[in-house]
Amino acid sequence: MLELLIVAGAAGAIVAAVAGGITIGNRVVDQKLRYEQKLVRSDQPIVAHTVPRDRRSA
Amino acid sequence: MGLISKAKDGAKSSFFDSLKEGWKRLRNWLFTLLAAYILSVIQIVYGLDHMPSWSEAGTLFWHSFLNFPAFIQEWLVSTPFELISDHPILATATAILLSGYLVLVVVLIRAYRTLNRQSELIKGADDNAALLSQAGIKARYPHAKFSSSSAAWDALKQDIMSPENKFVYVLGANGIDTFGGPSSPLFNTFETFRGTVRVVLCKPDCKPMKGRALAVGITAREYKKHIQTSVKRLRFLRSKQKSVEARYYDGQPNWKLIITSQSLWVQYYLPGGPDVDQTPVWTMSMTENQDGFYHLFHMEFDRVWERCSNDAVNLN
Repeated sequence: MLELLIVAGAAGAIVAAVAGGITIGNRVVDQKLRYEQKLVRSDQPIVAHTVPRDRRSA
Repeated sequence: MGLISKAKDGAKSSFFDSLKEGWKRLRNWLFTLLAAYILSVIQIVYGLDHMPSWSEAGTLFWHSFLNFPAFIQEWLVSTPFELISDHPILATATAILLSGYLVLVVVLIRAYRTLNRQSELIKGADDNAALLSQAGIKARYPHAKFSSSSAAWDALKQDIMSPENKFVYVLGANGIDTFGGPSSPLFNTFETFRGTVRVVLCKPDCKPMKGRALAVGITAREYKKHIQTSVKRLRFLRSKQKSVEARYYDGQPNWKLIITSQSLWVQYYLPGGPDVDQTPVWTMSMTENQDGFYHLFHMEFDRVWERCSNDAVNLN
């Protein structure tokens, strides 16, 4: 019984660590790679972003 | 079909047929080897020294089935427990390593999917940027109202006063809110500017002028007075030895254009009003391609300018 408890505890810890790691990892990925298309308001000026020539030709 | 191509097709088809046939034979050999391997494993596991009969094999598997819980107990509980109790550091390190790998794989898959989704956006953004750059669109302002400062007018004044700029061409209606009135945005700019100024204004007393006055809610007389004020301002500039020319046109005002060497300001005179300063402003840059809006509207100004060659305004 003790064996079972220890092994189950270890397995639970591993599963919890994996689940926690995946949750945190996914959040980090979502945060780092997040891109939201912003709503452009037509009552505000909109100025085109100019790309420097050296970057354009790169 | 020629003989050579027939021979090529025949050779190609024979080659693929041979490959298929070869693969079938290889597959059969692999299955045979796999079956022999499984049998040898069974023999080792059950300690057999001969090939079991079907009934013997059935008995063995039945016993295995009955012992399955014990097997599970041994492999899933006892063996891991021994590993944990005998080698705790190794067990912990293995668990951490495997968990880390698992997390890493899942996170990488998510990042890969996210980046794939975003690459579609980036591809679209490239196309949009190409359109913007070919058209030469620089900015859009919701209106051209001028108080003490305005982003649109400030940008235009900067373009006019840049050292590279050689001219300012204006296609307007009465010019009062552009350069004619003392509080207009280009009133002082024109005085400071050293290049050529060309202005086209609505011809006083013509029918479209009266229509425009009605559209913006003032009398034709007031509208005419605005034109005269603007012309007076141009005369003043000419008296200061500025290179200024002006012409009248008698058509319906449609585009309001302010063109410099590098940029273009476009607004549209809505037929029923309101005043043009309440309509959106589009600004364009000169593009290398000749079909950019800068060049097209420049041609439009030239066309109107030439059309009005008989209606030059006397600025002397």
